[in-house]
Amino acid sequence: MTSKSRRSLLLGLIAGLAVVGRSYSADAVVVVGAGTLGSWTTRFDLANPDSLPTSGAAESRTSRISDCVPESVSLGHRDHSRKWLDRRHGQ
Amino acid sequence: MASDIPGTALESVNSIFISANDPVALPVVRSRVLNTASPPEGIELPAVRLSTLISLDAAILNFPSALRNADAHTNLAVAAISDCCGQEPVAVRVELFGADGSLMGSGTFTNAVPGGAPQNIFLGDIAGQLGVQAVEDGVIRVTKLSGNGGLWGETSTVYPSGSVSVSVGRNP
Repeated sequence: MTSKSRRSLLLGLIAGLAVVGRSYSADAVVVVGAGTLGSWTTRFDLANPDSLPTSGAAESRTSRISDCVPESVSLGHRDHSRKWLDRRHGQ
Repeated sequence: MASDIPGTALESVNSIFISANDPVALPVVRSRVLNTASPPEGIELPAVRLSTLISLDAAILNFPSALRNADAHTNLAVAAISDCCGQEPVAVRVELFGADGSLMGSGTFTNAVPGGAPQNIFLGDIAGQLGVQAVEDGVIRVTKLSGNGGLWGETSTVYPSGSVSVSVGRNP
């Protein structure tokens, strides 16, 4: 393999990793149909998949989000420009 | 009292995104819509990875088991989700088919909010809204007419006992 082809391969690998990294970090959990309507309110219970005891809960009508959601987690609504309208944690 | 779910207005149904600093460790999520006037009545909402919805890129959703009678009804919540922009403005056609496949009713709906971020299209008693008096084992088909993003959502059928069954419109 020539130095030119090695460089091309290396650049390709870097570009590939950048693409993979970008899509992976953009992942999230989506819940459709949540919110508050009349006497109905939504509660979220969260658990860290890898370790206990990091867990928490949030409810749409209370202030418990900032108290209970793990600090590594963001929960909220995204607007059309993809910016978080309000991210409680993990800015 | 204002909603404390960030970015959502009082009296709104929305798509909520939950992310983590460490994207490898997205939290496991249980989401329940609770009736504070009649506990423990509640609706379990499915939580799905954004990457899964993006890969599905659904333009049509089909929901089984639509029901309407004197005691029970089916609700529908739908949103368009995109990787680039979160929740998208969208227009959809909703059709209700009977168990024999016959079209019983249809309508067009949008989630556009003038001057605001789009919300979910939430249609309580969808059969009633389509002018259908009674249906059993019906199918609700939602077709995207305009807008970006893949469709996602669920139906919830509320029974007189207070129990609720939830269906998604495509296998994630």
